[in-house]
Amino acid sequence: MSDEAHSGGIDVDRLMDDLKRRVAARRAAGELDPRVLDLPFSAMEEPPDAAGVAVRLRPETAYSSKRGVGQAITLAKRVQIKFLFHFLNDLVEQINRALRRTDERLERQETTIQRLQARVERLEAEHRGEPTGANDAGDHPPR
Amino acid sequence: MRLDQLVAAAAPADAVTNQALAWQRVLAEHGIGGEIHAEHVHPQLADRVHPLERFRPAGDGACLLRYSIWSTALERARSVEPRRLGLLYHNITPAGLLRAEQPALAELCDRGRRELPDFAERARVAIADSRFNAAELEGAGFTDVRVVPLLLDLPAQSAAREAEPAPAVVSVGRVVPSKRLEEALRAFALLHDRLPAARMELVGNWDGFDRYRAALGRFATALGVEDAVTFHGRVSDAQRNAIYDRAGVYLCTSAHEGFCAPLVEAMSRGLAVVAHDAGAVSETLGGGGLVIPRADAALTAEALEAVLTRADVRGLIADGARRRLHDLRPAAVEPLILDALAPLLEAAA
Repeated sequence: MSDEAHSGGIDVDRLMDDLKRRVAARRAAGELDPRVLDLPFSAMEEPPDAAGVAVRLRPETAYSSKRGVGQAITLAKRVQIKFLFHFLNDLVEQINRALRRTDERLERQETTIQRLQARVERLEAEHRGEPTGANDAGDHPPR
Repeated sequence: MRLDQLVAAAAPADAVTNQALAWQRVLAEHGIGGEIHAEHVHPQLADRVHPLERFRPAGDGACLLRYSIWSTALERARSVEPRRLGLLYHNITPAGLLRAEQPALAELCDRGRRELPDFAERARVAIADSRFNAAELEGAGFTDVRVVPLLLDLPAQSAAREAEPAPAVVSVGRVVPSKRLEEALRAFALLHDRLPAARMELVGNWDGFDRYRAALGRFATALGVEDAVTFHGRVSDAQRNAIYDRAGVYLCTSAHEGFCAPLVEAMSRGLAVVAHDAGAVSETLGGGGLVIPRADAALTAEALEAVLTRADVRGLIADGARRRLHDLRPAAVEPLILDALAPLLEAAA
């Protein structure tokens, strides 16, 4: 608990100890859902496709339906992919990173264009002697 | 005599902007004029904040740089005579908390931190809005740092609450990764298991952080609480206050805060606060809330439940909050502002 809490003279320490004991008791009784406690947030991040990145490995497309030899050819293709997986996966990741960087550059340029367009419109209005009522707008950073 | 203020971006509901406007009002009441200039000005503030390119250092005045990220405001501040320049540090979000979602913004944060020491010799006056922020300034080479808490428009008395609060958990702030709202959802899911009527109200915009917002939605679904959680987005002050008033507890799970104004807003609405210990959170609460070790979902849920169901816990927190709000009332903060700026204004006179 904070020093300020102590200096404020309120007995938060005893309350916190009580809360910790309750948590320990719940844990011991199996009342805390491990699915909730352990669910990784990182698993919720957008898959590459949804984030606008279109390249991924699709080993399921490596197959053959040729009568008689299809299964063997499919197996051979899958084995080759397995041997080359790290190489192919690295290639895909490089492509995705490049696409992401391109997307980000495009977004930044679009923002700049919008800001400059707004500025041009404001300056044109000022030049015509019209009241503008607005300055350049932009995103503000988080704190 | 005048004191101009430079900020990176001026936007409605932005804490730095609100502080610049509040200080401008206080200074005006003491006969000190001055304008606010920003690199980016939201159209709603165009009549109150001027574009940075119109800033000219006044021969008879001083300038206060509000430092929260790198922007061209820093370059403008470098054109001010050092004896006329003050720096107010609002802290900078650690870039690592933003990089995955907004690498360009993260770079501006990194650059802001890198260039902070350059102002240690340049600024005559250094101010921080918390001791936590003051320590960072001192680490960057600043000396004689004054601490002036945020000047907030607080009611004379905190609002009285009903005996049995609604089982609603509220959190206010931008929906960005540094707020760690996933930890708020995780704690809420544990609470919801025990109090099925419980609801969570998340207030704040996610401009530029849509992917984080979408991930939070999926996380709520995976936790099984999607129907009990509302993302309100950006709301008016009146709407925000109405949400505070119908809530039973305020939850802050930020990984980093230089002050955290919503904690004080919540206290002033008579709302008990439960907050993870990070940055200046503990200092801002000053005993007016329950501080939980960071990212301990089980303990956070236990604290939320205690606040919602036990009058003695609410009473304990309310006593501390009243004391803290007394320290943060405008009548207590305004003299600190004038005192901190005195060397700057004297030098500029």
